[in-house]
Amino acid sequence: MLEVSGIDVFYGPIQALRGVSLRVEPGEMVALVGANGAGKTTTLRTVSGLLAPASGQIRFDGKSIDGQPPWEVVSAGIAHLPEGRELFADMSVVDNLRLGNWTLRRKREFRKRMDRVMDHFPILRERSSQAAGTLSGGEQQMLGVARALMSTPRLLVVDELSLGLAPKIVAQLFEILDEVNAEGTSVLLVEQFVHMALEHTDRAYVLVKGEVALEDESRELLRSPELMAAYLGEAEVDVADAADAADGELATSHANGKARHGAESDA
Amino acid sequence: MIFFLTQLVLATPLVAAYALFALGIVLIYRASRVLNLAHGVMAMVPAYVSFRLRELGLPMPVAILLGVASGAALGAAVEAVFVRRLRKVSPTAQTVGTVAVYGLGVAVIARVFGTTPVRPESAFGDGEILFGSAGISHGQIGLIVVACILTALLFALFRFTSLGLAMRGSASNRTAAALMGVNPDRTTAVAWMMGGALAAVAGIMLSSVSTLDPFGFPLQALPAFVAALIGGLGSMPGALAGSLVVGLTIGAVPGLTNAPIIGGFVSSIGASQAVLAVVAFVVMAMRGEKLSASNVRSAGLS
Amino acid sequence: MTQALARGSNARIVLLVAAAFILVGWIWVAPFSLLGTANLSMTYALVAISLVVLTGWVGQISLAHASFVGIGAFVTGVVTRSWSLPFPLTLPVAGLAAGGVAALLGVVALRVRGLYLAVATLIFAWMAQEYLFNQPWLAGTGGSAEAPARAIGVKGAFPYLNFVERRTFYFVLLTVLAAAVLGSANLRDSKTGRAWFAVKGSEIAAASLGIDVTRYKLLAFAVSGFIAGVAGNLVITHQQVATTSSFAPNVSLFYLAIAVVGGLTSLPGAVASGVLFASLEELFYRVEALSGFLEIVSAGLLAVVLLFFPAGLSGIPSRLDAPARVVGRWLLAAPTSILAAWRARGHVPTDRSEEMPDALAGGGGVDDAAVPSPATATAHQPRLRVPSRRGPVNTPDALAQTLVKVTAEAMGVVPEQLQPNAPVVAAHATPAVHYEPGTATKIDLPPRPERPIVLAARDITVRFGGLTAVDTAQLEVRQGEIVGLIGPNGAGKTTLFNAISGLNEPTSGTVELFGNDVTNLPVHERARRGMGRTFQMIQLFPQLSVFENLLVATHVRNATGFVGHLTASWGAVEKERASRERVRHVVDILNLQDVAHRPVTGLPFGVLRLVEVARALVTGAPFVMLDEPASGLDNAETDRLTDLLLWVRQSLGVALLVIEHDVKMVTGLTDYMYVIERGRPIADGTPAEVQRNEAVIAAYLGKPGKAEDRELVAAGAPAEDR
Repeated sequence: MLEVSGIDVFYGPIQALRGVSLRVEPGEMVALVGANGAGKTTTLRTVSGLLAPASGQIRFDGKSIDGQPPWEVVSAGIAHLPEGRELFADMSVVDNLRLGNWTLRRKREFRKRMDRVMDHFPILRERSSQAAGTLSGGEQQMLGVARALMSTPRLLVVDELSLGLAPKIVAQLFEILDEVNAEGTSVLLVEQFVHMALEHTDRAYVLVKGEVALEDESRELLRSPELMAAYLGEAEVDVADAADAADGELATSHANGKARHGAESDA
Repeated sequence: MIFFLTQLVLATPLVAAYALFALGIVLIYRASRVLNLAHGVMAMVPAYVSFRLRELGLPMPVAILLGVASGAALGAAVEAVFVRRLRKVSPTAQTVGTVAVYGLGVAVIARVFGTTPVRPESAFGDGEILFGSAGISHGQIGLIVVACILTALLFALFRFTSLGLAMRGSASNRTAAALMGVNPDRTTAVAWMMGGALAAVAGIMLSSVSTLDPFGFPLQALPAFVAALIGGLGSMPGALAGSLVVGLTIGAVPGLTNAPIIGGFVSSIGASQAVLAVVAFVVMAMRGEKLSASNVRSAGLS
Repeated sequence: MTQALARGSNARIVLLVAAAFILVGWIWVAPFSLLGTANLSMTYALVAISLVVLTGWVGQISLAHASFVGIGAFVTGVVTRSWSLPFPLTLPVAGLAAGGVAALLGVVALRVRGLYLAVATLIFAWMAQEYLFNQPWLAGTGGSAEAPARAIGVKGAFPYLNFVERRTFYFVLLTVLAAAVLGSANLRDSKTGRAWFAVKGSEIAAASLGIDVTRYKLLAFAVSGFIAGVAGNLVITHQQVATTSSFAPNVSLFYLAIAVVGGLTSLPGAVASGVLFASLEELFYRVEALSGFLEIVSAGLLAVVLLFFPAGLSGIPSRLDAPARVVGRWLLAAPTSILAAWRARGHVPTDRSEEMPDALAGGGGVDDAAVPSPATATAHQPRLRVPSRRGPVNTPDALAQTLVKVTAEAMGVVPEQLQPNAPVVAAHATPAVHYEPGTATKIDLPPRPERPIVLAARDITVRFGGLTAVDTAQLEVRQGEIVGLIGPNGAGKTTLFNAISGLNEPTSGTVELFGNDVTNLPVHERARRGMGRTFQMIQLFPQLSVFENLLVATHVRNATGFVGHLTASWGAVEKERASRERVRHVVDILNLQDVAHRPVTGLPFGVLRLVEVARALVTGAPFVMLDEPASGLDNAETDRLTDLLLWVRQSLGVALLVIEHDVKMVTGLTDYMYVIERGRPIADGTPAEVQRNEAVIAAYLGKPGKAEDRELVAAGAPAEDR
């Protein structure tokens, strides 16, 4: 459905991406992980049209979208929830959702769609007339997701869902993403917390310094020491311990504190 | 006391004019982060256009309509030529661009119409309503009424229409608006056109109750900048509140000539302007920004 | 002043004399009206220069300059009428009055930026026209003021100067304009000018280099106002009368147009533009058909230059052939260099020990002829003093150590003999003072508790509104070490970093630098006490070359003052020479010779990062903070940077504090690390300890449910005991 082929992206003289390629199939949930500065956000911003690649191609449903401005890409069916959310802070929750609905404004089903989206986020119903900037971090992130869903996108692009949030809320948000994905929306997400990302996705790409270093099924990557090395530096990390510890987490995925003790056997 | 209150009432048309100016200034600022220093010129040119059309025999409503249209066109032109092109240079360059427009506007009008002040006729006739010894002309009342109607329309536009929503979103967060499917360049252009139209209305109305000349008239909009600054530049209700403060200040200062101590200062020429300038500086000093970390990091690489 | 450093040549002297002849002689053969145009050009040029200084160099927009000219004119009128002050004396009075008012307006500028400042100055201009210039005591009655300036001397005898006469006025204007151009050029090439450019380029970087931004902004307003006031004084002295309408806001816009068309940052451009506009005015006045078009053309020129030719008239020379360009610059350089050459001719080098002492005990430069013997040096007990109104500040100088080494080698003595208080690291320092990639190693430092504390941040809490970004963080940097600060995105590293450097004000907590409490000191004061920094978003000064960027960093080492810069005094020129030596030294050390004189825009990103590091080194700060220095660098460049930083610590004894996301880089670079997550410190220790720390791993990989473990580890429970 989404096909990124060999894109190079520059910020002025700096090359941020070198020949990055990835794809997202319909119904898939794909993760893009890597250290800060690796180019994850740059990749997403290029997909949604905020940046234009200097070379390479991006195709969505077979149609070329590289170089198109963001307002055209969103009508093609891609919704981008940027890093830091970029809400309309001084506008109300409802107005934020109304703007999320912008591409569909001619079809008069705003109410229905808003209700369906709010079903995922009941707390937003309570706060519907509050200014978006007054919501808590977790609520803001929920609003961000809700707003992105308002345009009934076929592909949801999420950048750093967990930024600045407590683990419990992050887990909640990831569950919602699972539900959304189950309903048929493909998801491409960037996440700093690797483990969380790998747990909830089908496949993942690891970006290092602007290039795709690893690509595999998420399950496999979870077991892979190379992943840890790419993150924590090669020399002094006790990689095996870290990998085993990560393995132990596979059994559970909830922030209830039981995981560690339950699965710990080999370490 | 009566005198003081009378002065305040007489200042109401001023409040109306400044409100229209300030709304336009804030609208433009929110949409493009540029302070349109040429706003006074965008009020003056349509006033002259409407004046000339009337002289040529066109009916009043038509002349006014075309005048307002010229204001909108001027706004769109300034946005396209100076604001958009200079966006990648710097906000300073954009501001100096509006200065160039100011200079050009004054110069062209002076060439075409000469520098002798003219007095366009009022759309509302020449009558007057008397308050004791002072009077408010029909034209001034018309200004107040039109200002109220336009303000209401503007608020309705922003609250209830999709265009209004798109403009608000664009002003609030350009990037996010783009990601929602809104083309921020287009909303910016619309904002400038609307700002130009508002300035045109204010200019046409105001010129008919005072005089119209190329050098002095554009400066009439300056108190509106103070109004916008007081209101915080970011909000329309703020602009209205600021206009109230400014209009009343300018009206009230002459009203204090009988007061003890300050009466002397207040009756000198230009006292209200001096007071207003002080108010403006105080507001800016209180609102100002110091060197802070937020200036260091904007969107980084990642 | 740059030119003052070059040797004057005979050719230049000849050229200058020839130019003087032409400038003086032509007026006797030219028609009278042309003289009027010439006078008008120079007046315009003068005002344009005042705008170049303020708006061009310091980036502060002013739409009020006609008002300053007006203040100069009317004040002249007042003192002439009331006190019968004769002309030459009225000039400084007018200048000071206008400069003072401008400085007051500058106080507003401190609080607002860009657009707001433009409006503020416009409001001031409007207020001046409506109120100030209608006050009878200032501007007389009826909107015009008189200034009956007495002629000087006796008619018929030589020193008879009647300023109403065009010729006399021409010479007066010429002298004043020449002085203004020279003075401004001297300022531009001095420490003051560089500080101004720095303020325009990046206020934050300027502050981090020790520049008091407030002071320099106010100074620019004052200088600019002074020049404008002088112009006003000259005008009224010549015309004997001034009307309010000459100083209206739209005249300010006109002046701004002149400056912008000239190129806004260029002095010769300002002069040329003044000539252009005055000529146009004369032309349009003469030709019937064009009357009334002058304002249109002026505004049109402004628009055209803004949109299509940002460099204005000053950009024209660069479009001509290279030789023509060189000749142009050379010609303009002539007057200043003549002056300097003249001074240099009879000069005898003074005893260097009288100059500001520095660790090298003899100026910053390595000049064999002037280096004192070791005996004098130790007797002096060199301590760096940067005099200031707030009292002397002892600014440590890390770079001085290498300068000491170079000198010591040249003299064949051991460095310690020259510098009694060598830092601990000196024992490990390599003899080479040239950066050779690959030679740096991680050195064995004495145990941490034994080393003196360079920087201590204690109990730092930073709250923004309701959000606690940093919660009781502790951080120490000891002498000779490289410390890393890491943590996931949004953890509060940057906030803590900025609190330490002075960009944020912590809600509570203290920061100590070299034992001094700097918690309440602004950024530039911390810089003067030995704190340097680099920025994640490169904050180099874009309009300057690499060399000039580095030269700005000599600010804290340069104690010369404004007057010295203005007049290119011997002391100022010498210090300038010394500063350049210092920069050359750093350029040599870091092998930046190839890019030194290229403008920073257009250089590869890796080089820019290097230049930022070099700039921090030039200040000589023994403690440098680096904000994500590897951000945007690829693997090879990151390795090179790591190598460089290790060398810097080893050879210069500079302690470093580094924020980084690249954990691999940081573990290879640092001796000690602090890990912060969600505003709280969760671990600190050597890289090996930190990497094995469960809580750290959890923080980076984001495993839910590890909260208890984290607390356990933080409380000190051994890893096995989970």
